[in-house]
Amino acid sequence: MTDYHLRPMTAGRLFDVAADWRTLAGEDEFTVELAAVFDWCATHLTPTENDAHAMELVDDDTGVTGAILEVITARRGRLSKMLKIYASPHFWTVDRDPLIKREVVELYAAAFVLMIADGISSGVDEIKIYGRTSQMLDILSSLETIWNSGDRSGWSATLAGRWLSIAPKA
Amino acid sequence: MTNASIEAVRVKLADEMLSMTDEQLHELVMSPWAELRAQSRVLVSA
Repeated sequence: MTDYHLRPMTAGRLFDVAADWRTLAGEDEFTVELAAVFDWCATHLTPTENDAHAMELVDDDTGVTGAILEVITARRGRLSKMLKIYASPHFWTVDRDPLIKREVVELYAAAFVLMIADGISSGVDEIKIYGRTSQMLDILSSLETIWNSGDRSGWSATLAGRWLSIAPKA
Repeated sequence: MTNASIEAVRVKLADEMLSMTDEQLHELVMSPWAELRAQSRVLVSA
């Protein structure tokens, strides 16, 4: 499996990622589809209480950014919420390429698990992931079942409405 | 929480997601972009 790490987006990285994704998508596609995300990222680089900020999911081996995540930190850093995953144009042919299908699955599994693992290790009380679509909700339901089927050091998963919450057992 | 425990979750989740259809995965990947495009249209027309 491809290994990833999660880190805050920086102004320097934003410039590089935009250049990479512009090449992948093409100039017209970048302008229509992607530019708005980079405009948003440019003004959301610093984590601010109750406001979203951008993080990047980076391939450990290649250093390539596979996705940009929209994340909110709240309760004075005790709550971390993931709202959206913007996957690189590299993955947009997932419905036509079996190799990309495997890569997409690994990308999303890494995004969810790293949000949880990094949150726990940084000392938050709760990590929440939003299921915006039916596909996301199906994945979060699977994640809830998988999480609760093993020993997770006292942390449990609960899907309530469109939010999956990972928190210490009451 | 051990790394092995976290890694086990990642592997199992990836295995489950492989049962999703090509169309479902395409929707998963593209829906945030489509949503953003729709928001941009609203802002332009406003």
